[in-house]
Amino acid sequence: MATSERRCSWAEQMAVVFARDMKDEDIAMMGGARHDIPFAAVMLAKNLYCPNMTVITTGCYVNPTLTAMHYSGHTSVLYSRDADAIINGYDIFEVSETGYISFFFYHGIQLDKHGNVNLHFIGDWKKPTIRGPGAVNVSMAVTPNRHYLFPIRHNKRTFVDKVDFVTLPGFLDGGTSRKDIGIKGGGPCLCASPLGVFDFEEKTKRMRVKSVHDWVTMDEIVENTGFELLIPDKVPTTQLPTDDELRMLREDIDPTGILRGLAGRL
Amino acid sequence: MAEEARKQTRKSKLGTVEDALALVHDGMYLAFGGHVYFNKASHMVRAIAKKGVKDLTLSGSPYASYELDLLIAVGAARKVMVGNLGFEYLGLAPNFRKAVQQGTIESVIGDEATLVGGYMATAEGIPYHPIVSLRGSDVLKVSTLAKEYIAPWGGEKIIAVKALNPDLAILHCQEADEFGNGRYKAQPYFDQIIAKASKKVILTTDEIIPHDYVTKAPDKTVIPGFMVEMVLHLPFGAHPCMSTRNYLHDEAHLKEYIQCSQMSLKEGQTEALDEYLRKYVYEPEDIYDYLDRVGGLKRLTELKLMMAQGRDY
Repeated sequence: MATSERRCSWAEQMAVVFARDMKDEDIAMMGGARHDIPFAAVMLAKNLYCPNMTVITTGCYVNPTLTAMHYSGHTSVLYSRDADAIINGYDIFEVSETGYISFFFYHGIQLDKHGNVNLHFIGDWKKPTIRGPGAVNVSMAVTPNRHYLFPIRHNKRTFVDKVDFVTLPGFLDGGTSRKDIGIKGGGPCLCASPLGVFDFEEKTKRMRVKSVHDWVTMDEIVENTGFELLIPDKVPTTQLPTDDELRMLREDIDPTGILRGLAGRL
Repeated sequence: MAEEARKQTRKSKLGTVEDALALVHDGMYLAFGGHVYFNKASHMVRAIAKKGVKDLTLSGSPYASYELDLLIAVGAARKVMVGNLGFEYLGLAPNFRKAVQQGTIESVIGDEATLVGGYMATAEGIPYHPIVSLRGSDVLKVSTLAKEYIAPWGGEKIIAVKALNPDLAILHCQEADEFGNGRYKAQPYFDQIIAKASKKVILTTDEIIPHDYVTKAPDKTVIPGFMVEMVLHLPFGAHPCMSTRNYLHDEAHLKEYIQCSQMSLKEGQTEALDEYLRKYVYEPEDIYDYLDRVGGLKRLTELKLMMAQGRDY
């Protein structure tokens, strides 16, 4: 089915899934090397559901006012001009180390069945076949209560059994291995991809299908995943965006249709 | 008489690009300010590249971009310490990727806590700074900047990140006076801590403002002049990067740089990059010559207007 026939694009669906998971008391860290889906999700939540949520951007703005999205998330916020405060890089260091932040977003060149993310190397790190971009800030996968994973490609090259390099610890080898080495932050709580929504089973910490997007089949998800997913007996369809969500997304947050035009998916 | 004598002791710190280059030598450790492709001392970067300095160690904010990639492109870098090195929505840093994949530079892996913790350690006068946030990451296993140790109280395993002490910090701000008091129109990112960690600081600025603008609003001074060795007046000195609130990054120019560099990823196809470097790095006589080559006052005015209007390109 072409995007135009669907109610929303996969990227819009992902933004809505994350926005609905946020809470009014959250302190959100918004930003990262790829900024579009996190920006839309946080702006949607803050302006529709969570007016008291604090938003701190990696570009050092606190509670920037709602502004139209630009390809560059950093520039989007700079355009807005209005904010509660502008802080500096040292302030970001502080909130990164203390677990003060409720959540952050990550994507990667690989992610695995325990939610570990690789942003660095394909192959051996000493002589990599691909050197990825690296990570600005690993801490947001370690100190906050939770973090979101938003892979923009869902295929066997990105969804792998085990990542070549753990840039961002998820549940490491599964089970209690994350807790065992003294990580206090909760880990990845939710992963939304262009195909579906996933969480991590409580005991094994293995990735589990939570819902399948409206235009996708379970077979499609299984075929495009490089490891065995846990699949419950009944898996619902991901709830499509409501009229209000779609209106705010398309009129206020993303009027130029960046989330409708993203290439990728598989 | 005594009054006059005292006035005479305050020397202007204004310098030229040549004066600043005299402070840059082979084998030095340089740190750049700004973040992503914002507030970069880009003209000094090109001047250093043109001078042909070698064997530099480089770092900056945890998200480095044009400044490090260009110095890698011209072969000035021996070692880089980075978190992310790229161009955000415009793509990865081609020269950095090529150099790492071919093993021609030493790339030390860090991140925000590693680098900022390293600057903080120097600012605090200690050999390392304790952090916790690399736990569970392979960055801890492979980075020469981080080691685990047992905390003297509580017995918990803590991560020590190594003190970083750049020989020279090179920062760009929107306005400064002739005594090096630097002001930023928006966020200074990591510039303050980089300045505190470095042996000397060179500040480049879009605009020199009268000293009494500074003294009448001292709360606006972000980098106090006592930290600054030399201040350079370089209008549009951050181009092709953004100078926050003053002018937007030049997206078309950055794309040209990235495309020319990407072609050199393929063996033997360095003509496009060589041509780019000749035109924008080696040939320009000074910043005004460079600015003419990238479109002159017309293009620069567009970039100012786009920033002012918050306009998409």
